[in-house]
Amino acid sequence: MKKLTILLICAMLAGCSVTKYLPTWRSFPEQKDKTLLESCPELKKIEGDQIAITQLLKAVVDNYNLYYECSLKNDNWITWYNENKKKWETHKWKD
Amino acid sequence: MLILDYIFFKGLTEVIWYGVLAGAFVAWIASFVMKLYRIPLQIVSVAALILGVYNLGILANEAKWDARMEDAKRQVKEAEVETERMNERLAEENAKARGELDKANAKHKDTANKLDRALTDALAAKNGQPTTPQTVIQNLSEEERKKYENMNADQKKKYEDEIAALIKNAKECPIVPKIIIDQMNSAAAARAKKADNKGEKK
Repeated sequence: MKKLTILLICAMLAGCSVTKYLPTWRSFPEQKDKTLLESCPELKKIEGDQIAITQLLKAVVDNYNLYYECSLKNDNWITWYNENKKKWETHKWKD
Repeated sequence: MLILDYIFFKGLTEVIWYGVLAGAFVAWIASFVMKLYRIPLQIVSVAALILGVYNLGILANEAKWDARMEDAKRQVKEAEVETERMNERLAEENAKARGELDKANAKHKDTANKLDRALTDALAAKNGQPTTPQTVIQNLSEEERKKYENMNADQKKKYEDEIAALIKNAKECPIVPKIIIDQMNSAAAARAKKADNKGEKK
C-alpha cells in the first residue's frame, strides 16, 4: 500500500506539472505616418551651362530644404523608435 | 458557445471524473465487504483514484490556464490599442512639424527666386540707366519692398550695400565657372547606394 500511495502522490503531482507558454502574440506596431515610409528624394542638380550666382543660390536653397525634410523624417523615426521601445518595455505581464 | 462548451465538454468531463472518484470510494468500501474480490477491488479502487485525481488535476490546471490566457490576451489588446493611440499622436505631431518646415522652406525658396528675378530684370533693363540697388529693390516683391521701407536709415544703408555687392558680383562674374557647378552636382549625386534600395532584399 505504501508503494501505491507513493505512486498516487507522484501521479497527482504530475497532473499539475504541465508547463506551457502563453500562445499569444503582440503585433509589431504600425507606422501611422506614411510619409516616413518613403525614401528621401535625390538632391537637385544644377542644369544648364550659363549659371548665375542667384541660380546657384536657388539650387542651394532647394537642397537645404530637401536636407531638412529628410532630417525631420530621421528625427521622427528616432522619436517613434524610442517611444515604442519605452512603451514595449513598460508593458510587463501582470499575473 | 462557451457555456455550451462548458456544459457538454468540460462540465461533463468533470462529472465523469468525479464519478470515477466516487467509484473508487465505493470499490474500496466493497473490498471490505466482498472478501473474495478484496485484492482486485482494491486494485481497481486505487487505479480509479489515481485516474480520477490525475484528470481532475488536469482539468483544474486547464481552467486556471484558460483564465491566464484570457488575461494575457486582454493585456496584449490593451497594449496594442495604447501603442496605436501613441503612434497616431506621433503622426499628428510629425504632420504639424512638417507643415511648419514646409512654410519655412517655401519662404526661403520664394526669397531666393525673387532675388534671382529682381537681379536678372534689373541687369537686363535696356533703358540706359545703370543698375543700382534701388532698381533691384523696385523689382522685389511688395512684401520685401515694405520690409525695406520700414527699415531705419542704418538698416537701409546696410541693405543697399548688400544689394550693391550682389550687383557688382553679378556684373564681374555673371557666370559661375563650370568646374564649380560640376563639383556641386557631383556632390549632390554622391548618395550612398544602400539608401537607394526601393524594396527589401529577397
